[in-house]
Amino acid sequence: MHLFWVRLLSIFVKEIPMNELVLKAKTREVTGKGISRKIRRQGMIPAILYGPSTKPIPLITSPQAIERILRLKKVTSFLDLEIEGNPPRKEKVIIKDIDLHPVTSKILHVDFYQISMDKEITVEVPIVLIGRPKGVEKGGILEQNKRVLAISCLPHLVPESIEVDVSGLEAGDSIHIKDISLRDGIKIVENPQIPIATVVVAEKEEGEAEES
Amino acid sequence: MLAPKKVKYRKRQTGRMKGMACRGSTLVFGDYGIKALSCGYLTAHQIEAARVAITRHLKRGGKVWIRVFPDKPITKKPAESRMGKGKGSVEGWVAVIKPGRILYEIKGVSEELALEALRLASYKLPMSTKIVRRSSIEL
Repeated sequence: MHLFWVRLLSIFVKEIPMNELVLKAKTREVTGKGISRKIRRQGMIPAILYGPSTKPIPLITSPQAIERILRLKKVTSFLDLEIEGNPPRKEKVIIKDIDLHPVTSKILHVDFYQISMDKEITVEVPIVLIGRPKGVEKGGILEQNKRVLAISCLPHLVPESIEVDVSGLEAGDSIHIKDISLRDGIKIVENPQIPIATVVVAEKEEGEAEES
Repeated sequence: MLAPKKVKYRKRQTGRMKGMACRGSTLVFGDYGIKALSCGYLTAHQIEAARVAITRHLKRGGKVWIRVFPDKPITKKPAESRMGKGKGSVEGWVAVIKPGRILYEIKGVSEELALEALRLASYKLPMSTKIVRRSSIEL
């Protein structure tokens, strides 16, 4: 990695004990697409902080720092956001949303959501499928219909991921949201009938069939 | 060949292809895909040719998703006809592609096989493309 980016990363992200991450950001006075493009040309990205007990605060942060956080931890983990400004402040946040460039997939904008530890929040948690379905061993394909699940719970109960065991699925079987059991205090806020994963029968090559 | 079953109006104006894809720019179903890097019309024939290239290379196994549909009618006047006398007849159907659009997705095969199948399919397409895979940044 270029020395410039290494120095920039050390400024914007530092790991502290207890496996928590600290992200630095600066407030910005002006908003709009013109200034946002100027910020991106300088190698930074615009961001925003909002939540139930704060007004929306426009920020500037480092895209490399965000990418590093996403590589280190899951999206749903908490960050300590240190905001340089007058006065400086520190907030406990989660990454609520990330905008990516449609062609290059670079990060364009980040939404931070302020959390308080005694209020329930609704977050999307990644679903991880574990096990090899019986149907796959017979030639089927495991199709994951849902990759994230919206849950509502207190912040300290938010899991990093939800593991779903699919080893019992035969060809044509599905596992639905209603089949997931989560610990007490976590509510699923989605339709229980939605399938999470299905084992489908593999396609035959149609081209040769048509020719024959 | 892909074509709409019925349409409200038979013929459509040309339109312009400005900007980038604001929808359909992330992998949703599969693990590997083809992403368009420039704009253009993708005809129903080209969509089918690329699909056949993928399915022939994959042989059996794997699942393929086509993320675009040719819903725009293209008209053409007969050869050696004078100008005027109204708009030509519908000759085919195209999908309007903007940069960033995912065209095909694959799942259920090895990485090597998937990348080779998508590489062969990309030769059938009229625009510059790149092969993408699922990353941790995509939510």
